Amino acid sequence: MIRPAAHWASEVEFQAGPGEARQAWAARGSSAFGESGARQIQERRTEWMASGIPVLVIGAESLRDALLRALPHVDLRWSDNPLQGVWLFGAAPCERVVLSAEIGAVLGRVIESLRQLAPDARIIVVGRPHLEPFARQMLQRGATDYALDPLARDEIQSLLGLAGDEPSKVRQPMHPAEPNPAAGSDAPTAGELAALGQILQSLGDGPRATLDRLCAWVAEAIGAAGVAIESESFTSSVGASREPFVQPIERAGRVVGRLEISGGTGDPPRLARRAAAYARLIDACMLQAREQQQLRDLASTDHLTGLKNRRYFEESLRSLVDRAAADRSSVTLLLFDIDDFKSYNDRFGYEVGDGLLREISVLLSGCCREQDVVARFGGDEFAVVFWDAQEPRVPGSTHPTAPTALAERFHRALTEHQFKCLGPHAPASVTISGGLASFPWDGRSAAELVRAAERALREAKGVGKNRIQIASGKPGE
Amino acid sequence: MSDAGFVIHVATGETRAAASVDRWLIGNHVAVVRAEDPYAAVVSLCRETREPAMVVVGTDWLAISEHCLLSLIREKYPNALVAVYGGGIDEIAPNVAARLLRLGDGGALEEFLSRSFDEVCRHNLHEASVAMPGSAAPDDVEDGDRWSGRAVADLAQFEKLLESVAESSTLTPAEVATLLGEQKSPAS
Repeated sequence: MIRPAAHWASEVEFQAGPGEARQAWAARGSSAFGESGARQIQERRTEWMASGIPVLVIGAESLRDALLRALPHVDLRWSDNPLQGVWLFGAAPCERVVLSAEIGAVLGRVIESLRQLAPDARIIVVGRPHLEPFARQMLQRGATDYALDPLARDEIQSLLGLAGDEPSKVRQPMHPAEPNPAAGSDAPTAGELAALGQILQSLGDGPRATLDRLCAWVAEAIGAAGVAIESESFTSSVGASREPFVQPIERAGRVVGRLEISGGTGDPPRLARRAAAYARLIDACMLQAREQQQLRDLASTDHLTGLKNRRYFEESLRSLVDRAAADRSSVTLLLFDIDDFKSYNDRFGYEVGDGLLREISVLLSGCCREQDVVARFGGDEFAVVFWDAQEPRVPGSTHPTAPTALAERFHRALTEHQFKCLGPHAPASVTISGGLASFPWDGRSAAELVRAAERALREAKGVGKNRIQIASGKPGE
Repeated sequence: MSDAGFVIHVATGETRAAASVDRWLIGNHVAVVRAEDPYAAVVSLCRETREPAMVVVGTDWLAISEHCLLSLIREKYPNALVAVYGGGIDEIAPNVAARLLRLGDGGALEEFLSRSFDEVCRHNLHEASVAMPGSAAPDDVEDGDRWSGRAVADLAQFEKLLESVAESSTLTPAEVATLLGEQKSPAS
């Protein structure tokens, strides 16, 4: 018998047999939801397991756990490896599949493969709000629908055809055993505190992501139909806005934002008290998230040019190459330096040399795309990592053309640019020599890619400078 | 077409090498189920009810997360010869699947393709029959030499070599030659 490497989620919890399995589930539940909650989950799960509705989940463990909470009545199969997930589906097809949008570029192929095996399956893509455009694209590849984090139980049930009704306008709390927070005291519930703990742990993701999480957290905690938050230059909203209750967000007596709550449950004075408390928490979290980002920016920025520094470049390149290897996309590295840079320093002085580096940095940033990593490699050397969440590579793919075009555009712009720092006595033009190398064609790791780009740069120097040479060797050559 | 059955070719290898494998299969009159990427391969594995004589996998474009394809193939077809070729071959961990014939750069693939399909499969049949204790040689084997003393000696050598090199490193052309016997059959 073929035994898939992935497994039934029920087997994870119930592998010791039904009796002990229930204990295992209860033990797990007791830590997350409290004793009474665990009992309720256990009873509900025992009852619902009998229905045996299989749902396949392909994505991270956190997605599986979120779905286990939202859909405790189904038999969840899970794999975090897309290929194994397709295999699992083929070995025992089911009618419902949830796919994480985080799978990346290969997601389209996963959907097409599942469709080939079961044309009528409900295939739902789930992802964070910033992945919505990508999730929408997946509809054209064969996905039935998509849902965005935070997952609302009613919504995911409806999308999977596990409930007869359309998704409720009012988001329901994910934790089945939690009491309705609006019905009790002002004190936060265990679930609220746990969710807040996760937000605090993820402040490093930056103010934008933090605000999105806070918005979803407030909506779920209050049971509101809609929540919108403005904090400094960021805004976030979930659900519908209708005659909202508005709570200013203040810092040191100054209004720095607003929290809007539509359709919140509970009496107005209580809602006002809670909203004021949430506003203070939101501001504290946003302040911390911003400070963390500033510290991170400081640690990753080259102070002279304002570009990313070498450490950031190396970490980014490694991570992008790993990602490209996993999702069969490409990464291109441009390394270049200024031809005869020393002569500018000797002739005009170091201050002018620094000015030249700064002007080139501005010019370079202007020629690159938002997602590209533009860095000062060291001295007068610069590096750009071009990457795309393109379609997966296929046999016969060649070097990507977009980075080559971008590099040539920069080269042209540089030639035509009048450098203010050099003044009226500047030489005819400032020129550069560079090397372009692409993963996986010219290197199979970040280090190999850098070596290939450096080789190409040396070749460009060797054949007369003022040009960008494309690496053409095999990896490791 | 050859009586030997059919071959699944996962053509995610460099195009020239993949074309060489295709030409070899066509030249040997072997029916081929071709998969252009690992996902198409898994769909084929799920749908295919027959057992192929051989699965050939190009590894240039296999992402690390897709190396499990080889273990899936091995699980579905425990007796089939699984040969891998291409640039990413060294990244495949030894434990990803048992009994892989690793044909890396430097002529191993060419050496492999210089043999006839029947010759390659014959050796694998020997290997498979021993891999399953208690299994007898197929009754319908027409080639009397297949079970001769020399073949048994070849088999022992084959297994020894396969154990020593195939699961841990890429085969050299000389090792491929030894595995498949010293005598070359004329290619069809």
